[in-house]
This record gives sequence, C-alpha cells and structure tokens, in this order.
Amino acid sequence: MAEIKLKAQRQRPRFPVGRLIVYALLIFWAVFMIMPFAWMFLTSLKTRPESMRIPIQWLPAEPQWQNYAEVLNKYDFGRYYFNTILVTVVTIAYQIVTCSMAAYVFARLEFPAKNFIFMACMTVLMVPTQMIIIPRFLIVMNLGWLNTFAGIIIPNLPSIYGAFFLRQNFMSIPRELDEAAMIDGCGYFGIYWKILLPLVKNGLIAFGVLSTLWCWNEMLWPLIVTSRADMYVLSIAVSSMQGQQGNNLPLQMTAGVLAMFPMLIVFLIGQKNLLDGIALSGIKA
Amino acid sequence: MFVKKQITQRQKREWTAAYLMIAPVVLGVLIFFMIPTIWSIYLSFTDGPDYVTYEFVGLQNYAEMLAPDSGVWRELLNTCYYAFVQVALSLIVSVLLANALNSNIRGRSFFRVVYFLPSVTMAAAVGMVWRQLLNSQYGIVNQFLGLFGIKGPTWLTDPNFMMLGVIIVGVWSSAGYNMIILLAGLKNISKSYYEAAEIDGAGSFQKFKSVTVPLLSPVLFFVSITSIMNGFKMFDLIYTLAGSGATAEMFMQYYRTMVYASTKRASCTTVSARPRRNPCSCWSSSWC
Repeated sequence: MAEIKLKAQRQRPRFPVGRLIVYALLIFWAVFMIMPFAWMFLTSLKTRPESMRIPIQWLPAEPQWQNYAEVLNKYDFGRYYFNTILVTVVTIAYQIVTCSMAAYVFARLEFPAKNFIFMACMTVLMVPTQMIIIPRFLIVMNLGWLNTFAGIIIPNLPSIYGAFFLRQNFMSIPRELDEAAMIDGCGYFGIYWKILLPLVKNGLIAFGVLSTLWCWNEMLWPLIVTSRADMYVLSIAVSSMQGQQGNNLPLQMTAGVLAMFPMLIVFLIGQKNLLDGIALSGIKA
Repeated sequence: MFVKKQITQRQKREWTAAYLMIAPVVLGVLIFFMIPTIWSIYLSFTDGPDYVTYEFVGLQNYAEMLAPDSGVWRELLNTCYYAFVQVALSLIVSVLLANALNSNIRGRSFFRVVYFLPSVTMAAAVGMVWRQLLNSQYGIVNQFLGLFGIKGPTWLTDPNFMMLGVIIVGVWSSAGYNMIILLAGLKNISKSYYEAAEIDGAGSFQKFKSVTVPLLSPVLFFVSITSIMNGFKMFDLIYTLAGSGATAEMFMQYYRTMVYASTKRASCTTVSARPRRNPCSCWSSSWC
C-alpha cells in the first residue's frame, strides 16, 4: 500500500518551473560548450575580412572550402597528418598489447616483489611530466633520437595508466575461468590471450579511445624532441600556424578543425565505452 | 617432499610468465619515468653551463629559488590561485550539471556527449580558438558583453583579467569530465535515501543538501584532487592560449614553477636545443 502511494507520488509531474530551470541550465551549458566549436568551423569557411567583422557575421557569404585545400597542400598538413597517425597507431597498438598483459599479471598472478613493482609504478603517475622532461630529453639525445619518430614515440610507449585502467577490468572477471582453463592445460599466456582478453573487450575499447586521444593531442613531448618542420605532429603544427598566420583567422581555424576532426569521430564512435570506462576508473582523458 | 617440489615448479612457471609479461611496461617505466625522476632530483643539486659539465652545489639552487626575492613565490601564488579557483568553479558547475542530468531528462546521452567534447579536443586547438573568442575587439565574448552595454576588458593582455580569462577556458574544458565522474557517483546513491527524505517532507534543495552532498563527498574529494593535480600540470592550453605578450610570460613562469629548483639549469639546455619555441626560454619576469 505504502509502496503504491510512493510510486504515485514519484510519478506525479514535478513542479514544471523547476523542470524548466533544469532544462534551461542544461541547454545554456550545451550552447556554451558547442559555441567555440561552431565558431571555429564557421570561421574556417570565411574570408579574412568576414572573419574580423564587428558585429560578428556568423555565416560566410560563400563557404570558402579552398581554405582546407590551402592548409593541406601549402602548409603541409598532409605530412603532419601522416606523422600524427603514424605516432598514434604505433603507440596504441603497443599499449593495448603490453598494458593488457601487465594488467592481467597484476590482477591475477602472484610473484615476488609484485606489490613493490606495482606501487613503484603507481608512484610514477604522481610525477608531473614537466619534472622529468629534461633527463628524458638527455636520454633521447644520447640515443640520437632527436627529430626521429623513435624519439617521439618510444618514451611515451610504456603506460602505467593503461595497466591500471585495464587491471580493474580483469579483476571483475571470475577467477574460476582461469582455473578451468588451467586444468584444461592452458598456460598463463594462453589464459590471457584466449580466455580473458575477449572478455575485457569493452575495457580495451575504452582504453584504446582514451589512449588515441592522449596520443593525438599530446603537445609537450613532441614539441621538445622535434625541431624540424617535417617531423611536426598536428598539435605543434596548429600552434605554429597560430604564430605564422597570426591575423589570418580562417586559415588558423581550418588548421584547428583539421587537427581535431578525426578525434571527434573517434570519440563519437567510442563514446559509450569511453564514458562508462571513465566513470568506472576516473582516469583523465 | 614430492608435493612441495611440484608447487615450486608451478610457481616458477608463474613467476617467469609474470616477469616476461610485465617487462614491456615495467622496463619502459623504469627507463623513461623512474630514471629521469631520480636524475632530475640529482640535477637539481648541480650547477653548470650544460648537462655534460656540471658540479655538485648542494642546496644552492634551492636556496636561490626559495629566496624571498626570487619571484618564485609570486609564481607559486599565481599557480595556486589558478588551480584552486578553476577547480572550485568547475566543481560547482559540474555538480549542478550532474544533478540535472541524474533526473530523468530527455536527451541525457546527448548532453553527456556534448559536455565531454572539450575533453577530447586538442588543447592546442582549444587555446587557439579561445584566444580569438577572448579577443578584445572582434572576439565574441566582448561582443556579447557589448549587448548589455558592458565594455569588455582586453582579456589576454590586461593583468587584472588574463587570469580570469584563463580560468574561464579552464572551466570550459574541465567541467564535462568532472561531470561524468560525478554522474557515476550520483548513480550509486540508492534511491531509498531520497524516498526517506521525501517522506520526511524534504524539498529538492534539502534533499540535495542533506542526501546528495554527504553521500557524494568521496567522489567529490577524488574529483577535486585529480582536478587540482591537472590544474598544476596544465601546459599546452596555456601555451597556445597565451601566445605572446605579458600573459605568455606570466604562464611561462607558471610552467617553470613546476620544473622546480633545477629550472634555472633547465632553461639553459632546452633553450640551446630549441631556441625559438621552448617554453622555458621566457625567463624574464615582467608580470606584476
């Protein structure tokens, strides 16, 4: 009886003004979120005079699609795309395999110094990149990797974030599966590869998206190891475009749109897995 | 005896598998994270023209950094001011948004995706866009303020407003991420608490104050700590947002603060390696 009454109370339409305020807040913030993106995209299609007009002219009289061709060809963004894609693909491929292996080991196996190694690695997460960047630079310089893909990629390959993120996923799978597989004669690597990996697929996708975003958007490290323009990644190219084309807003914004568009697609495809994964682990995108 | 030997063999197999499988990550972390950390601490006790020839000077760098007139204190103050104000504002907004999204509202997944967009966007591009939006003449922000008859400040060059400008952008880019985590925290609060409060006659605000906030506080704590850490570490957004001029220098100092006591030396090498664009190269402290 009480149950029914409660239900009826809950389903009664709430005070509409409160509801309106909630929607107003949500929509206001959504507009605030989207406005810079909209402005960026529309500006990339304008001519220079149109982009500086006061009061603002939102829509270009005629979309200047040739801005995109100009940025891609004249400013060599094709090359930067290639660099960034190469760096990102290699990094993710390596991270997904090695992090999931390490995650499996930390979640399942027992071995001497396990806790020490895990804690030592976790401590490293607390150290800001800026602090270790000089010795890292020296290591890379001594290896002769300045201005090479090895120099951009390799120092960022090991990801303890990834191992930690995926470990949570492995721990949620019942141990009985491992034991059953072991009785059937499966080795440790076999258990990881054949039994558990397919089961953490969602976690792997979330981590894959996350790591793609990090890698694609990373600026500090590539900025430090590269000085030749042909080794730039997109983030550096965008910021150097800002320096070179200070007054040419449409070109700057075209470069920005080109640099972030692929990640919007990746995010929209992987958003469900990613957002749920972040909610679970609290790792920063 | 026999049984014991079997166990050891199995253990050995487990150990070998474990070490082999963690090696790619752990060795990498050792070489590119742990060794640099220790090296960096060591370097902070040395002085010299570059990183090949240097001598041990003990705490001299620290003494210089921590001297009352070194400028570090003001930089540290700026950094803290930025990190805390930005985090506080961002938390308020994200708690409100998470609460709004936690009721049964239409288009929830749409809002979730839209709010998260800034977090997936390249910070370099975000900085570039906001630099234009905050432009004192043709920027939208000032044109918008103009509608209400307010003459907007020169956001990125006026010392009184540049921090505010950077904080606005910081909130814009971080609130969505915080909201996702808080939303997950809200989902974990059992409905029965709200029902009990309702029976006791609590209104929306009272429910929020007496149920939501206390039960959400562990998540809130987590979000605040990670946000403050990220606020202290932020680099690329500020780098591109600032671009040039006074703001740039102010935030170059902000950046330097984090490279701690060895920074003076830090600027030497990296500057010689990357003369034009190195963030450490702005050494002069003109912001006041």
